[in-house]
Amino acid sequence: MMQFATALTLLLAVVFSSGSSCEQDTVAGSNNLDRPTDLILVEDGENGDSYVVIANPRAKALRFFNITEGLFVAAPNLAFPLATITGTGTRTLHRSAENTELFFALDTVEGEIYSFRSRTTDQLAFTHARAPFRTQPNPTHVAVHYNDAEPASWEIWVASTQPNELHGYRLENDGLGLSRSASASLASATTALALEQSGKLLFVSQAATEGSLEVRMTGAAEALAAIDLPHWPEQLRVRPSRTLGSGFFEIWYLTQGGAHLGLVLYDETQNLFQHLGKTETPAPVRTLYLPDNDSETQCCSGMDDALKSGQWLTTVDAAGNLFYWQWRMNGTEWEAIQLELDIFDANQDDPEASLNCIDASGDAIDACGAVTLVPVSESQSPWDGWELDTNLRWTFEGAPDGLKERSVRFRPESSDFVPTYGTFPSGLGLLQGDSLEVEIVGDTETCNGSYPIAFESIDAQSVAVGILGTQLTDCLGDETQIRLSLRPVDAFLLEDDRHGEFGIVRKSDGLWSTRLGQWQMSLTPDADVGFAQGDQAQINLVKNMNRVGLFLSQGFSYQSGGFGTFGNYASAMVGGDVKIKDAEGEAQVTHRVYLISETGSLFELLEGETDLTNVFSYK
Amino acid sequence: MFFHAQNLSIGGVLGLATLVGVLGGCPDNSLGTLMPAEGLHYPMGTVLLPESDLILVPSSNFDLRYASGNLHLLDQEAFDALLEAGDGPVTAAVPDVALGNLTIRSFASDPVLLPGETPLLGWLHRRDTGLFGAQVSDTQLACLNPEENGCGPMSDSELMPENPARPFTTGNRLWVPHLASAEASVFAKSGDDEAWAHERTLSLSPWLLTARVGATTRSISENQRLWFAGALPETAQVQAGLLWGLMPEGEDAAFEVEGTLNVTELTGSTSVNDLAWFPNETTLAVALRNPDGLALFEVAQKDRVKPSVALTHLEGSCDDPTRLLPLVVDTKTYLALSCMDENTVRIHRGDDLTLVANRIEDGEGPRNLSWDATRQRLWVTYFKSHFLAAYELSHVDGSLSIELVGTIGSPRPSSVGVTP
Repeated sequence: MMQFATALTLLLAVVFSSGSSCEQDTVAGSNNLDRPTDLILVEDGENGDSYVVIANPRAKALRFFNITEGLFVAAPNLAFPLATITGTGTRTLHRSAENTELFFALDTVEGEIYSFRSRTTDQLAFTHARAPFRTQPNPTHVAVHYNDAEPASWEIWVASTQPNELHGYRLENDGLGLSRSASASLASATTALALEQSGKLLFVSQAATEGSLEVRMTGAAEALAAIDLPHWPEQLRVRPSRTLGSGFFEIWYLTQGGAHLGLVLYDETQNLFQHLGKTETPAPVRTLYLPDNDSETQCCSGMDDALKSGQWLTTVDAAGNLFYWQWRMNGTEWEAIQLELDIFDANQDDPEASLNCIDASGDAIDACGAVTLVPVSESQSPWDGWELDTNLRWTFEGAPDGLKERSVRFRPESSDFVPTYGTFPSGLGLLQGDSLEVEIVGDTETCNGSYPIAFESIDAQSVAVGILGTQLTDCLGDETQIRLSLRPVDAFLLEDDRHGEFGIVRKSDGLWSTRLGQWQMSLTPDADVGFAQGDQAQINLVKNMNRVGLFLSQGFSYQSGGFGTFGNYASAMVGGDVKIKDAEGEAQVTHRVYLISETGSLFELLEGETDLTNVFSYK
Repeated sequence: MFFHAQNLSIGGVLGLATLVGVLGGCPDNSLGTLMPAEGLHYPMGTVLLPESDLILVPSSNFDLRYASGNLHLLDQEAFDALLEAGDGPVTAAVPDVALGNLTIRSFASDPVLLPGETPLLGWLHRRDTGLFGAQVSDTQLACLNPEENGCGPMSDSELMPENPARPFTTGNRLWVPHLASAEASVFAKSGDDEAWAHERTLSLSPWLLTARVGATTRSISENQRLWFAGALPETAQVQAGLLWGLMPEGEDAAFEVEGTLNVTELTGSTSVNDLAWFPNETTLAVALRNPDGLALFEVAQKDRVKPSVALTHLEGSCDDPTRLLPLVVDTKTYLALSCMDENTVRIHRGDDLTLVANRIEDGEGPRNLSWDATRQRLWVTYFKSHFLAAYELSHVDGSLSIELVGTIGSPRPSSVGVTP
């Protein structure tokens, strides 16, 4: 009896709370989101309203935000947001560019594709349109196109690993019958998948030795063309090129960990790729927003018109910093097209470099020379953008980390050195013929000394240098323990905090010079200064940047409890023409951008927005 | 670079308070009954003896119901026989598979296998100082320092702080981070396998305020590299950090820190629950707390003296990601994750953290993970449900399958839990 009374009390509480929430129709509600991982827009959904659909794998559900009304869609019990049940592995959502009557979700645990309706037909909106279908094993990425050629169908492309494959599935519009339309083997694991708007071309990036991007005609087993890239693309955004015209596509990419942002062009007529370049992001970026090709937005709001640009895009980093980037393509000939890509910076001043020299013991060297920064004017393709706001260390004749007093063995038969532990470093920028000094310390001490030598080659398991001489070769062959140091002669080892040691600065025409992205940096020594081994030139590069953007991890008063972070961990960002009611209650079509963060916030803003007070947020 | 310090959540404070209450508030049941050997009671981590069928697992007596804990020696061969005879998941009682048992003190840590010629198990106790040890044979456990009331420390040290975290071993040393101080105790083997002694206490100050977990990797020198994660000092709000340096040679050598990483700045999470190195020792998985998540770091340390550490993947996770374990099924690397608060065990792909398998509510408080590569079997300790669960992992049509094949220790026998 007691249990019945308790249950009745709870039931009444729920009923009353449901009733009271019916009257609170102007409040979006809070805690509708848990740890969302993805979102899509449905511009024309149930009742003609616009919606944001959000994946919440921790809640094993999708949530729906009615953009037109500014409310989360309520469940039949109005106290709670509508939740369409999915799985714990339902992390990504997918839609076609043209038709959102159906949208899809990939569950990587079940290896299934869920399909959902956005409008009520013979089924209710926001319910499963049909039973989930199983894909090939280990699906990783999905792209969807709606083909309106009779019989109309959804074409769903699914990439997978083990084995690396790409399969096409066709879901008929009438009856939702499913069939497999194509399958192909891939050379490497897919890292991103994107369809261009017409659905004819499918772009697939893969984790090859470095990275690669290929394009396929949908339905064809073989790739049309491919290009190697210096990093693994992790996200792709494709759109027709407004700059180059019909038949050209821009493929923007974010690399693994969001460390680089780059652009590849594809010429459909010539079936050619061209990598225009990349630039480093200031901090690891989580997501990328590329405005539609027909966007007229001049970025960014609040800036002087002279500084605005119609060629822009947005990134959001893990800490909730939303930055705008501007870019330009210079040149008209395909082979000569150059990219410029920079963060919007309200300060247009060039970076400045200051020099401070210390000797190997740490004492200051007065007036050791001057540093100059000159923008590289000649053709630079691919673009290699650098943010010149860092501290560089140039160590004169410094032995690189990994080649300093390194424990090695000597192989007389091949006259090279192999590491006792681990591997040798790569990426130091040593060139065949570089003058080196090899310092050897052996257990017998008979070979000890420094030897000038020419660099030959380096790989993970061997370092080969020029001719050692019979006496030294014999001597080294007798050694059982050798410590090898290898350092450039009359050159600096280049290092900074972000990249570690990453290059050699060589001397030419009386000055030491190196390229940093699009800048040529040179050190001209004072006439009476001679550098000794271990001396250091510390170069402070300062770009007084005034970045343009939004800082979404602060200043939102609606937030309470939760994880204590707001716009952190951006998951996804999309934009589109949506309907929002004005003060008179009339739905007006307007363009908006939506950003979801894994810390449970949904943000609504205009393209190019820079004022936090104009950003709406929901949770 | 932007800095966003996070507040310790109310839940975290309450959880800590609860833990403190349990640790500090429970009366020691020293006059009570010894823990029966027929069941597991708040089991800790399992150790699988290599090239044998032996499993070792301590019952920690976490609620101090009894006057002691237990160290159980279990036989996988007997468990396999039950699996063969059974149809579907097998529920094995401890006596069905037990080979031996040793009475130990309460609050045993996760045990570790001590390097040496003879199989030795080492462990610590939350409220005691010193290293405890037992010799393992096919049929029994022998305490290295038997005392009247159970197994005493093989090497005691009053210099060692209390509240040891999970120990780890390398070469001839055993390392113990400390949950309440910026120190790591170091025990070293000198001569005989059984001659383990406290060598030194390594200060992690001023880099860390407390040390929660540690691990070792190889470096390009003879010295191994030590990695610790814990709370960063002198920050206005709780922040987590990672610290690494080469293992110091000799008793007096200082720990020369090579680098530190502010995990909170990079991920937003305020503490690290666990570290796990992939077999290649270039990928480091980190279990993050508040907000809960998983991170993968790419660490270049095979070709350079000073490692470079770069975040490559960051994902939300189930509640309270507790333990991580990389494992290889066939030739594919996965990352197993237990979430104690959510009663969940997950398997992620090792390369991109894609979630591929999920076990929910098989028991309460999944905690420690052990991988039997030969049997392709994952052992999970269900701390609050008092049993071990065995899952077999395989690829079925290319997809990973995780199947619960049996449990040990549940249901608990009626004698367990009854204090005369």
